[in-house]
Amino acid sequence: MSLATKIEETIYQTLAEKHGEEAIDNINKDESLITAGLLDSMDFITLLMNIENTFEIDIDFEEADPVSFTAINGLVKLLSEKQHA
Amino acid sequence: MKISEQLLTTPKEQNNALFVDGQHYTYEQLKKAACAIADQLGKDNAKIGILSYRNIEYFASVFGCIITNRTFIPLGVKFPIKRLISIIEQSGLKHIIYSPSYADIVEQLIQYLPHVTFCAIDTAFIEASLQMTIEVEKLENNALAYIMFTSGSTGSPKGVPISFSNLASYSNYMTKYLGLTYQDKVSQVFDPTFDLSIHDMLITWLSGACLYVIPEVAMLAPGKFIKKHELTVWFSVPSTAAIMAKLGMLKQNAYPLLRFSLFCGEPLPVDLAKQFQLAAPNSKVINLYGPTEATIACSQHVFDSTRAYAHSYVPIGEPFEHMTMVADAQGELLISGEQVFCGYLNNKRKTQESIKCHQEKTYYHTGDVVKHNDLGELEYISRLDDQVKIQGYRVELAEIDTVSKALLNNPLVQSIAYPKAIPQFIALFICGQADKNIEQQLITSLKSKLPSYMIPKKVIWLDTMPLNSNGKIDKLVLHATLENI
Repeated sequence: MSLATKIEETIYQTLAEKHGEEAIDNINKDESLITAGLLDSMDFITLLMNIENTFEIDIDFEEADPVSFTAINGLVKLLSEKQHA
Repeated sequence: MKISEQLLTTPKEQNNALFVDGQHYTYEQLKKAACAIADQLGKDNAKIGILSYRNIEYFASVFGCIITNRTFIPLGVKFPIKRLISIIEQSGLKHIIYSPSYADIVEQLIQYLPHVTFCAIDTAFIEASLQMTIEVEKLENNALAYIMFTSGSTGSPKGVPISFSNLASYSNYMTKYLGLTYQDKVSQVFDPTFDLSIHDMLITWLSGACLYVIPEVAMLAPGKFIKKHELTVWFSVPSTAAIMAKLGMLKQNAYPLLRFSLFCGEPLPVDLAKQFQLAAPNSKVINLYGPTEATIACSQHVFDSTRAYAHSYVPIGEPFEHMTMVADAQGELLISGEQVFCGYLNNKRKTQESIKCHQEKTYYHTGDVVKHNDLGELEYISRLDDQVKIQGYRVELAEIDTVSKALLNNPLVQSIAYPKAIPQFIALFICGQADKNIEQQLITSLKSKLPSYMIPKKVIWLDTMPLNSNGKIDKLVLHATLENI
């Protein structure tokens, strides 16, 4: 399983814990999870810390665009690129 | 001069006053929109509820209330309906302005509040108002500027009324101290229900500077916004700075244009202040302190990165020149001076408990325990009661407990805030047999009564509640239990 897939799974797991398994089927992967009301900013930071610890990635969002990196696709892309860099 | 007059004598009408949702508004435009809104309001009642969230309608409404000497009450758009009703009833609100995006909240409120008039202000109204010039009459003899509601230990929010004279005392001092000009670009991150948002608006507009409203989604990564819009003043709770540090946004000299980096609302760790100072090397990093009851802030400490601080938190410093702060025998911080409010809204008992005599002078008793350090500066130590700060919001743990006990019909309930060093979340301990259904029902009911930052993130069931030697619930054991989960 690729890193990107594993990260995506972790994100879905967090969302399922908060909203239930049924709620995660119809999530728009390009919409910000915060704008969609699925996570608040503290939930999001907690999720990032989890991913950082689990996959040993150093997070640096200095130049990242918050609208895109708070969406599932944007976050997975950003984090898996970091790993290869 | 009254604040209403000061705001109307802004030097250049063509300067920008506000940047929100991608658009600039000049002082002339803000004033036109504000007057058009004020014109919609009856003259029978000075109190105006504002149900919007950091959009042009919101800022123009506040501006309109201040320049016509009305009292405004920010209504949290994320608050549960029951909490909003409690706030509206307690303050005797008859007029509420709202943005159409919150029409669903209004629909629910109308059922319970048939005597309240709701007035929709949408972007089309604002657009039209920019083409008009409306003369509005000011209300005379209205003393109150705003009422903020904070968490109350008895289970319902308590109102803190702040007068125009309290507010003028703060703004006269702060505008002079910061000395902002029309060239300054000031951050706006605070929620309308948080009184630090009043500092943002008032100090910016009294100085003729421009307020930059950071969109909610950009709040996670405000660094990019600060750079793009070349902000010169930053003001947030330390938690926001901690997130920036965690996400790699406090690199050396990242924000050379910042002139001031202000923090307030919760203790500021020395390490974080150091990091922010490195990222904004040309700024004065200032730790502000003050309870809502003493109008926004009443003491300050200018951080000095070359100094060795004795404690891990930056001192709350020294009182503003027109304020007095002393510690009593217990170490409780007492405040007196022009910024101190006159008492809670319709709550004599609470007022008598907190505004009391000390050595023949009347002081507001803050409940904060402080001590003077060797340099004579005040250091924050702890709380006398159960109040905690979650991302700057005041939370009375007793309010969560009172509501939970009633819902569960179980007296053995205790909430705590964690992690202990910088609390971010609430955990709720319940004595009894674990029951997922009851737990879900409880959380659902709590959500209908309390704001989201007060909802427990974790619920832990215990067979027995740990008690200390006084027979009280032992919170130290609860903290330890939580850490081991």
